[in-house]
Amino acid sequence: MKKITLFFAFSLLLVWGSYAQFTLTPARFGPYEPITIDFDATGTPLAGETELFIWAWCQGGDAPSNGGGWGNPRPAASALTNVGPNLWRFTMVSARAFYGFRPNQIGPRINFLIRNRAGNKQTADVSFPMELPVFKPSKIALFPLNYTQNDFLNIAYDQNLENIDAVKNVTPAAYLTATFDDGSTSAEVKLNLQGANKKFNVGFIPSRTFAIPAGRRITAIAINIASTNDASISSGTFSFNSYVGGN
Amino acid sequence: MRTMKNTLWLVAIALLSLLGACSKPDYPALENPLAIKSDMIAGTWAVSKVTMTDLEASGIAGTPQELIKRDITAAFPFASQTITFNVDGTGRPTNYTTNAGGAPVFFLPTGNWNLENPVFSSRITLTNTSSPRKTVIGLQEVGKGKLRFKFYQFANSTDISNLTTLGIEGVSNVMYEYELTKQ
Repeated sequence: MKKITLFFAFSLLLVWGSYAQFTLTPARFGPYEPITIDFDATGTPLAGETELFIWAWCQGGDAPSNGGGWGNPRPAASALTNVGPNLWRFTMVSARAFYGFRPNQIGPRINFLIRNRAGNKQTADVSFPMELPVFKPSKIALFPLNYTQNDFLNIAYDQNLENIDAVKNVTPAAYLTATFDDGSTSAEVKLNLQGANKKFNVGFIPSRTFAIPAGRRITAIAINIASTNDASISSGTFSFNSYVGGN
Repeated sequence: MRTMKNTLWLVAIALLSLLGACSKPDYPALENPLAIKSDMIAGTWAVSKVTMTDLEASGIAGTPQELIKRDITAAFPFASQTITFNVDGTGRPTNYTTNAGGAPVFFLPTGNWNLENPVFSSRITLTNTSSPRKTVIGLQEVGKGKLRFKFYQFANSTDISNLTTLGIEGVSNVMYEYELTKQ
């Protein structure tokens, strides 16, 4: 019994020891926020190394930075920055961007280890919890969340969730303005909303709805939900960024 | 006794084979490569259904279904849209054209098409020499006058060269699914 207790205590010490080399900032994070990983190589097999790399995976699979495998990773995407004697740092724009998987595919934990270029020295595997996002109902919802100017977009407006008294009983319309990549904006376009029981929708394709100047592209669309008779009786203006994409 | 056992095994295998043959679906699921030949795709197809899936929203727990997947067929005159896949005299894929019919075309509207593999394939590639874009269509169903496929929309900055199909889906934002009927 004593041996078993000692074994578990030793195991815990080992795990704690390997995790103690890492500091994640912030300590609690979701899939869409930056994460800074600080690694102290002192006392590890990687002490004294001049180059270090992250090797990362999640529930969905390997991070793209792992490249073609252990012997052929992508150094540019996985290199740590030396910030002091045996002190290293790696920053992820977000777990979503770095791991390349959607939140539910990443899962509740992100995993990684630190290795040298040759791959013959490494830390133990470490795993940190990630807070998975949960849908929060809102009066205005865009479908899809990420869009290009050539995608179909749907604006859903739930007047039951309206928090501005003046708008609670008006017939709503969507007043749209596009911003282009040179900073200029389009003329306002009014779209009527269709619906019942205070739940309204309108679908459109940005590139068909706005007059896009030659050589320009849409970078964002501002949506003002307001009375169809008076744009100043407004629920508020919400802006959604677009991205440049293809298929 | 040993002969008896062997015979029982043979009977079991034969029954299982028969069962497999009987349950063969009318339209094979084409997530895995199957024997698709270009003449099965060649011809003019009319769009009968278009759905769109927000892959990002699908990864957020509790998101209502209407914010994940929408049937957008009625939003535009897709019923008037056709796609024609042409082949040469030997049956090899050549070019394709699209008659938009007043509805949006979410992939390269004209260009050349090709099967990923001439015998066993699950994907068609659409290319056009005047465009850096390449649409990779995943075949889901072919046969009996029906064609069903999907493709993904992702950021131009995304490098998909080393990604598996699951990986491509992971970095994509939107999935379009088309159902078509042979004309």
